[in-house]
Amino acid sequence: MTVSAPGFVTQVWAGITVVVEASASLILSCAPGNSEAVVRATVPVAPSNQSRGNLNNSVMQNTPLNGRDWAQLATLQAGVTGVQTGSATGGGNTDRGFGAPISISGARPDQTAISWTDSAINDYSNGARAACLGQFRIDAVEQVSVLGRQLSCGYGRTSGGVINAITRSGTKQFHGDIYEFFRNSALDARNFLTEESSFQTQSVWRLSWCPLQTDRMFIFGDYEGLRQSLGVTTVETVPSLQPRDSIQAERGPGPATLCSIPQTSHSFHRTVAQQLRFPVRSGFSRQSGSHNAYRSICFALRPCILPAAERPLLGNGDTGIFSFAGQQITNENYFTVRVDRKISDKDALTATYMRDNSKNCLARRLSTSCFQYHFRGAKVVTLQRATRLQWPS
Amino acid sequence: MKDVTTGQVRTALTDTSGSYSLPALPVGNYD
Repeated sequence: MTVSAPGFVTQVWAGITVVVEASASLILSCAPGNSEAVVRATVPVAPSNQSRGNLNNSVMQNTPLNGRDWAQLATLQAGVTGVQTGSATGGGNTDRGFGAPISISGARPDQTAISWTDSAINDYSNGARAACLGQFRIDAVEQVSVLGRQLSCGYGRTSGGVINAITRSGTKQFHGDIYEFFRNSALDARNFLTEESSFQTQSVWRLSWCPLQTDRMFIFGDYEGLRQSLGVTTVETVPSLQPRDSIQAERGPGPATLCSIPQTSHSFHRTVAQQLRFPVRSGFSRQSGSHNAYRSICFALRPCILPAAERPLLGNGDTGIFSFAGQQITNENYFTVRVDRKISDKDALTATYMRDNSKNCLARRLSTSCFQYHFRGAKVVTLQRATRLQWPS
Repeated sequence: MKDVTTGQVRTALTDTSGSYSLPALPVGNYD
């Protein structure tokens, strides 16, 4: 910032950082002298308060982050803690998403409001972000701010704190880059409970560009895609051998015989029908008999489908645990665009748009559970002509 | 006041008491 006045020495101040929700005050004292003389100075960095602070772009770009998740930066502030419990509000399951839940000043994670350019991105229960990828990476973020207690009245839906991320804006020079983040089982340590890691691929591509159309318009865009196939240790409760034998005793050699016949063959269908005293046709489907008969057939087939239980058995011995490595497939496509338009010396227009489509499916032996997340957000901020409001004296 | 990233310049004049203000500044670094 250059400060000049006739009859006073000109001052040039560098290192001024404008942060989110902050009102900076720089008190200057001009010394009389030749106005052509220049004094250069750097604004000192003010220490951050507890549970309240801002992380500038330099800190964000140089801090190693697992998965380049920007939300981890919030934990650099005092009083901010990441919570990974795996519960409904703790993240890490296919019921609600994979955003990192964060506690501010000891509050519950669902008391924390997370916003992207002042737009709320909490999930339906006010929990952490629900996307599979965790939404935008650090490369698309200009600044992360953490607001603890004593929030301004401009914030709502929170009784703990606010984590706010500001999208980057375009620059005066064209810039674009692309990268791929790759990891597989050879580069990933196995889980303690699994025999080997079945992490096949994880790829993230990113393309951003920051062209300058004119001296008054700046555009920033960012696209990221995720393709991931991850082995996840999964536990199912299945019948033990005793109830299987009971079924076999009731129906003769039924289940054992059925399991030895290919389930797609005609002889398999005929064997099932004969055991259930069902009319033999060229094949049967659900429509060929009553619903009860169909349920009986499914019941007869269950021993063929259900895997054997591991010891020790549960309860009275009728059920047991079967653990296996399910495959979790995650695909995500995300992009954001921001346009800054300078209308006049005191007026500016900023428009941002973000879209995130993601799907996560965990394949089990008996079922497949999927989690889908779709987010569309648009925000237009008009900065009106700068005027200072004063109370009448 | 010059935005380091975009190069945009904002100017302000002091009033009779020497106070100045630059409201609604976008987030960023300035020189």
